[in-house]
Amino acid sequence: MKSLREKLDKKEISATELCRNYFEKIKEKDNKINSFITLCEEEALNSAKIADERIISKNIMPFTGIPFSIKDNICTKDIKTTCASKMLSDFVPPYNATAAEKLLLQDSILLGKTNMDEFAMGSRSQNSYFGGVGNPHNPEFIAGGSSGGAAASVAAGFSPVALASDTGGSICQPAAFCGVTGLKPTYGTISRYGLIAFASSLDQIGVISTSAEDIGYTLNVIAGKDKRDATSSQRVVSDYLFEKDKSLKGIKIGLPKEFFSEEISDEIKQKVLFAAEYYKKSGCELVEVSLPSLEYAVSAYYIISSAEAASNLSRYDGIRYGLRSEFGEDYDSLIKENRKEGFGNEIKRRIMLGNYVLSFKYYDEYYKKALNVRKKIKKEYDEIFKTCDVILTPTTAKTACKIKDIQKNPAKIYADDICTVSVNLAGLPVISTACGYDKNDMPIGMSIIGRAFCEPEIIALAHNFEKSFRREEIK
Amino acid sequence: MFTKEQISQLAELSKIKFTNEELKSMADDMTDIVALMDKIKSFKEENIEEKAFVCEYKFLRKDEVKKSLDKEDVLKNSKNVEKSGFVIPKIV
Repeated sequence: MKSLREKLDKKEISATELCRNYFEKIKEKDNKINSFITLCEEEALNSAKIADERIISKNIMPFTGIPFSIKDNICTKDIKTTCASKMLSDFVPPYNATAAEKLLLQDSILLGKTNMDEFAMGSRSQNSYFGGVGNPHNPEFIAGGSSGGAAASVAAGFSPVALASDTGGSICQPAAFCGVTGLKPTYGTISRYGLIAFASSLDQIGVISTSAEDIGYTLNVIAGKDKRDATSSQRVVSDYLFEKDKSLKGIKIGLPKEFFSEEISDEIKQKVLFAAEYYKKSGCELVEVSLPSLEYAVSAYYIISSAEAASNLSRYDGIRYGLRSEFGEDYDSLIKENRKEGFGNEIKRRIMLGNYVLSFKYYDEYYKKALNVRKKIKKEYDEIFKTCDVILTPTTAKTACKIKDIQKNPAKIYADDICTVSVNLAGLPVISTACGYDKNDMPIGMSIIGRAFCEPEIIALAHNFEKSFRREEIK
Repeated sequence: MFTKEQISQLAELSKIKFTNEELKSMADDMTDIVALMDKIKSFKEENIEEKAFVCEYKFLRKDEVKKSLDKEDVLKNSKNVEKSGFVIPKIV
């Protein structure tokens, strides 16, 4: 981002030329990856023209003339926002999400809306009404999800940075699978106004880019209190990059043993532990710690997120917006037909599960218990942070699989989220960065988890590692 | 294992129409997923001091009427609008 900023300010390239270059690349290569649902070429070129005028008149802000992509569950005024769902396939929001608005007010360049799992429910970006997303390293493999399009757009060089969302790993996991860097901030850091809700106590907007430094650069613009989101935090971080070049000496890194169990592939454990050794040689202290309640995390996550999804998605009745069926002889059956036609199978499953765990007979057995697990996980993380500064874990249990080999059993897919969901339950910040490649040359990611509102620290650690780790180029 | 009655009740709560075949397939999927969720039953602890919801949310705005969306913007995404209202099948 720094080098783009310099080139633009020195007029080595104009925002218009930069914009055209990105669209040329997208049009040439995205047919194999399908990372975008909507391209905004006309709007982008108009914005680029304005950005160029600003640069000439030296009225420059950090994102002036900088292109970005945005996951299609984040509202963009007058630009289709579909959530990759038939239900919203022609929905045009009348307002911008706060995070998008903050970038657009600086005359940045919105390239397009990226593909994803429908309503952010999924971890493969194959549950999309607009077709699945392929991995730029090898399009036969999945890009991960639900922010697969955002991660793929960055990995393929279609966009220098992408805004995305993470509820149970939807930024970190695709970032890991695509070999780029992704950060989910502390809950409340970035306004959720305009983020189409999946599970409101877990959802966060975050950033995917090619480096931790670029993520910090972006957070400096989009983070902050927003009156329109009552859950956004008052806490101010004046500069997410201020710790970027600090010495690693004395930093205590916790390695929870539960994240290095048999469920995690040997290749992944090896690469993450290799990274841990790098940190140790750089002056960090490695500490073995434990998160005993991790075994309940997936169960708790799917109970809580499905319950919240069932509530949040009840707004999709097809009356005020969304798909409207030609069937339905009365109000009740019209709504049922709209939702039958508009939602994919995964959405229907989650809504049904959510209503099951919230129903009178099962509320205590599932939902109330899941809330207790959530409290316990938070407590265990807090215990770890009494003796450690950050926590290092694998981002995923397995590397990306081939699209044709995707597991058919949804429960088995859910179980793969073991490395990410506990961080969302605890509301903590996490950054995933590439630390190796598997036998198929598919990327492996490691996650650095920090204390609440300590994004600068985890950005610094990821940045330090990235300076010495050579990522494979995508051909 | 979910009974047909249970699944139909959940479909009613969810306000989604299913064919009989779809209900059966949904029952099978949900049985597998609930087996995964059942792990939670072995968690016995209660009265944990932490808050369940991690956010610091404690500020409420004043109860004042403020400008919201223009009516035209509110209506523009609906498929059936008449005289500034959303048209639905007759209820009464």
